[in-house]
Amino acid sequence: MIDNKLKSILLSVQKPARYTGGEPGCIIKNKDEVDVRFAFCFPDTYEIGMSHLGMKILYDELNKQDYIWCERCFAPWTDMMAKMKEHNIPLYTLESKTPLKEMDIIGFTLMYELSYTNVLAMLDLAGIPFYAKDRDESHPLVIAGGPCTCNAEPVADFFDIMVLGEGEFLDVEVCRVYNECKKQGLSKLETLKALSKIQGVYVPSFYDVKYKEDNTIESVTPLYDAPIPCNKHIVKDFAHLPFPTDTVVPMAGAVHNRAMVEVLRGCIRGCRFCQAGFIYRPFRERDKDLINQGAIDLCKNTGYEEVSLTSLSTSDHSQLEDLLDDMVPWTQKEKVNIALPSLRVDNFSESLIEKTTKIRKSGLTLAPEAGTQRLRDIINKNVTEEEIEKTAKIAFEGGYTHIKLYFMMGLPGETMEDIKGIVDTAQKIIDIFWSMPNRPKGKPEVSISVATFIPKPFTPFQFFGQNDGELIKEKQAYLLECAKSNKRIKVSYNNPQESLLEAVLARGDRRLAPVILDAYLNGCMFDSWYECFNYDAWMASFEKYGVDSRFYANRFRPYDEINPWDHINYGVTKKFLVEDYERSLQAITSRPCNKQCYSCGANKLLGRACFEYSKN
Amino acid sequence: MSTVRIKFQKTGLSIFFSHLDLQKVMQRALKMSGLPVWYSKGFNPHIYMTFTLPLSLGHESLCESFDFRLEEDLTEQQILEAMEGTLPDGIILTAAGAPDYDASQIKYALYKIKMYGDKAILNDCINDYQTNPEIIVTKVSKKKTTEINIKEQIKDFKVVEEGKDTLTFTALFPAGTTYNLNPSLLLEYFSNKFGIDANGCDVLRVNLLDESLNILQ
Repeated sequence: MIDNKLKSILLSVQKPARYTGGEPGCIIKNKDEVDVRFAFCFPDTYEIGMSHLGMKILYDELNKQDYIWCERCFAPWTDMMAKMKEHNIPLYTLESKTPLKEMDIIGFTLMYELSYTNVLAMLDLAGIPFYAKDRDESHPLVIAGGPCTCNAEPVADFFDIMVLGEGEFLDVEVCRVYNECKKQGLSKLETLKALSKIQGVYVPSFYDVKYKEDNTIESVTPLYDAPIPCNKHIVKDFAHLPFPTDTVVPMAGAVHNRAMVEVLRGCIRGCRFCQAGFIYRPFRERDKDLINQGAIDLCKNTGYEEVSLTSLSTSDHSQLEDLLDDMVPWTQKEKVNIALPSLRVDNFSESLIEKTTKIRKSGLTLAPEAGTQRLRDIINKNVTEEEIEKTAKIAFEGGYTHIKLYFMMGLPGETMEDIKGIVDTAQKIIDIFWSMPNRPKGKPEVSISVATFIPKPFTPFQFFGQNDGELIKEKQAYLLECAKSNKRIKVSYNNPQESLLEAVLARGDRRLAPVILDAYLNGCMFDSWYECFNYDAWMASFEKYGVDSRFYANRFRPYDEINPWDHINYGVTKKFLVEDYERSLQAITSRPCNKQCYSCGANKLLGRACFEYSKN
Repeated sequence: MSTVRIKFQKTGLSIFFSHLDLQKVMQRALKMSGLPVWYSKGFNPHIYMTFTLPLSLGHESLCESFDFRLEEDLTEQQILEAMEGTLPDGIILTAAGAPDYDASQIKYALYKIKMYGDKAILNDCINDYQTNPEIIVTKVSKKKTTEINIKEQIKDFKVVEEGKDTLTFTALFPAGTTYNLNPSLLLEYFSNKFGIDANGCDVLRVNLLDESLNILQ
């Protein structure tokens, strides 16, 4: 399967195991015995893609069907990409080394906006036309899924369909309908019409977007009876949804190389900056026994020494303590470490820390997100200073000396006082350490990592204009100034130019497609990698097409303006988002979903109330 | 507790992952096997593994091995059966048992190398090697770059097979815990001088030998 030419190329690039497949757990089928060949494409490197739980889930679901063979494909790193172009080697799937062009369906997962140019790079390397309108029945169907499809309008013209929401059953249904259409010899247009009938399938070309003279949207008109709004798909019975217990184990080191079990979906917290917290609603928990048994099987089948209980907020699982009680005995025996990646400051307990550090101590990261109580109230991060201090104390008592804190800057209503508050929070934690008679040996260290806030669709802050680059630089400089005198506080922050681009793409519309293509053709790729990000090239492409980045990123959007994503329904209504934004302006917090319902609209997807409120 | 040596081949697709990746692959394979593997007793318990001799990325081998400890004695068959289905494509286990020699005994490795290309060029390579009294290559290590004459270090060089556009030779290269000569250095020399594709060659480590050139197995 790998000839001498490819072998020679592989041995001349970094980490060739990224491009060879053959890992334990990868699925090989006979191509003559399947009807639908699906290439699951992750538009970033193997190491990033193989850390992605969604890919493992969909790979498993699709391959459970006898008539589908789902294979994997990742973006080759720049060295490999150059070699493949030089030697005319088309992009191939890892399992069978089949050129992507020969597949039936190519599915990209859009996890972050800065991977859009990589999608184009992969299509280019596969020899597949960029624009959907330039592809016919002879080409594979190019589809997209993942969180960005809630507003992937900037790349909508490149895709035949997008799947909205949760893919477990949806992707299989797309393959089933596609297969029927293929057997009947239907045209691409007829196939798309049939697919558009599935809930959660969005066919971008079936929506005609008209713009006003001021570049805002005039109207969005559906064609061919396409649904408006187009609804996302969810798995209603998540509690009993099985999950893969035998996954591909990457050989070349993935970033998150461990067993992962998704314990809940959605989030009850309603932090106003968090897109995931809104687009994955409604909140649903997986049954604790299912999680425990699955985790046992998964660790046994993969040989991992760490199992991560993932979700947006794992400590909100109502049975977490019981689950950990079930998991501690076998994980101890098998020397498997339990990792809880998204703990909250407000329900972090001594018993949690004790149960998760039995085998190996992993790092401790807390996310206060903002430096003062006032700003935390604005963003609805319902965490108090006392809770942060209490958590730090518990952590130090548990033997930790290094604590990492996540913050954002550029939040609505933020002042320089709030920036100083970030450093004050870190200082407070250090003071607590020294004040403890039973503190661990050594010196404390607090790392603060400050990201630039990017307003995202389907959040109450979707209306807010991002701070411009100058203001962010000013705030970053002030942050450094505040932290200068303390050596125990380490500060890091990201490049505001990257954040600007992400903000543009996140709330962009279809007028951006030629800009993105132009940027790619001018060499932009791997935009989320600092060594590859080329701001000037991007700005040149914006200029070439007369597109103003500020129009998308930095402008307040009136409530009555039609947003590029308003014809898409993720459950949460615009009415709710406006109400919640208004609350934020007055620094009024919202309570968690399980305590009070604010009628966001997501329960309509379930067809029932999300919680039994009488219980509370 | 007993120390077990597993012998394996690294061929096919598995040549593309590095020595570091191989260690993780084996650690997970042992974990998956469910064998009563001994863990170090520290703050970070881990499987104690020692690889006999690292293999370069891109090279195949028939004679790889690593040692680990078991908490109870098991037969070769029990160990090999438990390990079934835990390894990636191209890693083939051939034996499991008590360590039969010490890594410090290794002094040479026998390599079989197949070169591809124009027949005349391949012949030029061989003639050059056989007639040239010195083959000077540059060896780059972390600390320094040195020029060495590898001809005086290589033993038993012989052509064993000639195809239409291939040529295969075997030779003994110094190997072991104290000094190693990577056969790729010779291929790079041929590449620089005659333009063969060094990365396109098939390099196979056949077996390991001690000071008196007895095969270790």
